[in-house]
Amino acid sequence: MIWDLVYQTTLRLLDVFNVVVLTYFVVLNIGYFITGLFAFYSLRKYVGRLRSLDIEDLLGSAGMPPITLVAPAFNEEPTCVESARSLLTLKYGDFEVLFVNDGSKDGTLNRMIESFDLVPTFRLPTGQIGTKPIREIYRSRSHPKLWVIDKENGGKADTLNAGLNYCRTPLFCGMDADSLLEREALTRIVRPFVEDARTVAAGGIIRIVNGCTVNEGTVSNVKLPDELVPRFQVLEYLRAFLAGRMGWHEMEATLIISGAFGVFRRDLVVEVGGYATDTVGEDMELVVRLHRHCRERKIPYTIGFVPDPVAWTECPTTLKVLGRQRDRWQRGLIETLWRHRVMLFNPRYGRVGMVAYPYFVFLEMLAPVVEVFGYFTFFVALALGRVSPIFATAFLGVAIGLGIGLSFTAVALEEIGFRRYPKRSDLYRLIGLAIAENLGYRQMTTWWRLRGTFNVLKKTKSWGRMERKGFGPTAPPSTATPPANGPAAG
Amino acid sequence: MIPDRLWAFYLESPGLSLLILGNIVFVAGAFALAAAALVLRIRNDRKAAHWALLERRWEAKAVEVITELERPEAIWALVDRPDALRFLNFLLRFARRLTGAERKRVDELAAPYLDRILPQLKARSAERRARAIQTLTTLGSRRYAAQVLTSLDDRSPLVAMVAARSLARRESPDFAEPILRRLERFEHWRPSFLASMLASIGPAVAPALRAALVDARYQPRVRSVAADALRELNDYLSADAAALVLAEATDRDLLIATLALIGHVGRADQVEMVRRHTEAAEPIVRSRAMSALGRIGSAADGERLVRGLDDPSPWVALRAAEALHEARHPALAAIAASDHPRAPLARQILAGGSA
Repeated sequence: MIWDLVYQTTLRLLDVFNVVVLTYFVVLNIGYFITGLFAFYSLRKYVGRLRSLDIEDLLGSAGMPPITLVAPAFNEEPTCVESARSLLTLKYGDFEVLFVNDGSKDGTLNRMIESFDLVPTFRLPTGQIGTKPIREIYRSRSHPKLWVIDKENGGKADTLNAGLNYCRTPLFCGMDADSLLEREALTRIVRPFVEDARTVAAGGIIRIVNGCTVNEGTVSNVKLPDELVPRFQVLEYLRAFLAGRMGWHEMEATLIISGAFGVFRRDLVVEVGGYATDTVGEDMELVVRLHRHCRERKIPYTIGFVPDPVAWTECPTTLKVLGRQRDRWQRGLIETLWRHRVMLFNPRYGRVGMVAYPYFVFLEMLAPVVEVFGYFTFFVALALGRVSPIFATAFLGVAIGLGIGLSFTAVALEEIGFRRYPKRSDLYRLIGLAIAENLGYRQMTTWWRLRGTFNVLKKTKSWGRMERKGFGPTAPPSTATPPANGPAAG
Repeated sequence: MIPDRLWAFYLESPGLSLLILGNIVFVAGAFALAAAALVLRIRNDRKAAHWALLERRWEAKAVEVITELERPEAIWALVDRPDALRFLNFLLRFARRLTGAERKRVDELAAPYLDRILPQLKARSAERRARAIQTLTTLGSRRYAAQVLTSLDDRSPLVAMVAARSLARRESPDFAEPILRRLERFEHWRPSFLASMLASIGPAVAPALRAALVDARYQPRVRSVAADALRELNDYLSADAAALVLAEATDRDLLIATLALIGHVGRADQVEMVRRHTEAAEPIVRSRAMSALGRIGSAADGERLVRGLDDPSPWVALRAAEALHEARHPALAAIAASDHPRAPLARQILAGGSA
């Protein structure tokens, strides 16, 4: 009798949970859809703006603020020289490069010394953010804009802070040493700072270099990767940047600037204490902290996203490495949202507190939990015959159909805005991938994110290994194994 | 009947029915979007191929016209009426590669088509208006100056900025005053950018800038921009104006800009004004005063600059070291050879390592 009651109650709870999950999926996708609409509007406006203010004109104009590129490197031997060369050939008036070696265990430093004729020199620190000790500072005799700071290993945030301490320009660009910036990327990303002096940070778009041809630090032929895992990531990046961040930018509630490419006002970042070293999501944490700092002190500010300055980055090619990356991203997200939880539904923080923060908490952070348990209970209910065919159709339609729709939206936005994949066959593939990713790949990423959620509870701080192949076909393969908190694309 | 069953289902579960319907509509819309992306790609590829072909023809002919092997009519004959705006875009890009007489020939080629852009000055889209202004000012010489001047008051700051920059590039003093008067419209633009824009007008703009620098009716921000522009122009006649501002200004940004200006164009008899600011409360003001002192100070300021090396702000110490180096003061070499805490900095500056 009692078991029957328990059974009946469980079944009822199962029904209720299924409806809750279905509703959650609907709300989630409506959220994505609204962001996509904002992104569409914003992108159209931006493309029109690009036509009215041409970049050549800006390139030629004086008055562009000097920038320091801070490139943290850990075990980047295969790519460091090509990356540094690429940075030195950027088309921008006044910039210098601080390449910060985070105690690499491979030949990163030696390759840099040999390739750029580095000599030890003194450089006065202008900031006092605490970091691991600096071992030596070098300056290139062949490229005076290039400095290399060699320090003890402390992780990406610590390395960026070390660079920040030696930065002398009003703006700095935080990036990954293994990323390739397009020649005009700095000119393009600095535009918000020129057009609006209240701008405190701006992020550029990250695109995947796997499959593309790289010549002398420049991506010369853009095409989709041959392998399936990186291909899916191309689509994910398009969705995240063009449909996601572009939309948040339009709503003036950008919460994430990728650690692989973002420009910040140096004085303000120093004022807030630099990057947080006790989180694996230091890029998002800094942006949220800047929002909080400016809002609490009533400093007029803007933080935005610019969709055309591109940083090309190598993405994981195996599921194992990808899983670790997604696990870390989820941990970074949760750590940041938990740390600044006071902002949640707090009108003091404006749209950031009232719209973006709840969105990220309920629809991004909790999504893997709800989704995985949702699938589980759905199939349990299906097995118990509790789900009508109509409900099953609705559930799968919402879970998969809307996902396909959102990916199509991202592909369409790319087509409207930039068309960076010139081969028509790549466009066909992207459309195919938008369907295929829902049949397994998306569920895997959800699982990794769920694992990341549990790892936060276990207080895991590991960064995970990132395998690099290098940009050129002849570059030697290597495995970067960051210790406690090593650098990788965020 | 299927409709009856659907209706019955709707009556039974209206929420679920609407959800499924919404889902179907959304997914159908998404597929339509994907199809649109494909169609867009095919259409754009075709258009790009067409324009590339057209522009290759124009370019070949344009080179002949510019080198006077052909008359302008030869290229105009290749431009069909619907392609006029495209032709202007082509000339806009082409013009960037040329200077002098060749550049003027491009303006002649554009002349018959420019009037067709005028309606775009009233377009709803700010971007289209801005683009029209850019085309008119780049290819239209002074012919459209009146329209562009009007655009300085456009409701969109973007359009106003494009107009201001276009006018500034004409290097005519006539435009200096109208731009300066509207500088407050560009309140969010970076001051160094605005200063460069004003300086690009050329030395003829200097009198207006000098007047603005000392005119307290202008916002301190505008006066700072004027000071920066005068510095870019190396306008020695603005030294007295700068000294006057340093004597009375309290705004931080104005002080910084004016110290930078006097450092470039000031005279030894104005150095007292600079010395005062080496004791300012704000490190950035002190650092700029150090730089200025290194340029226009005398040997007597060496001691003050050496004291600056001990300033708690690294920025002030850095600028003081650079100033000692600039003033060729022997103290810097002595410090570099000593065990002074700033000896490494002195050695860096002496080795030319300043950023």
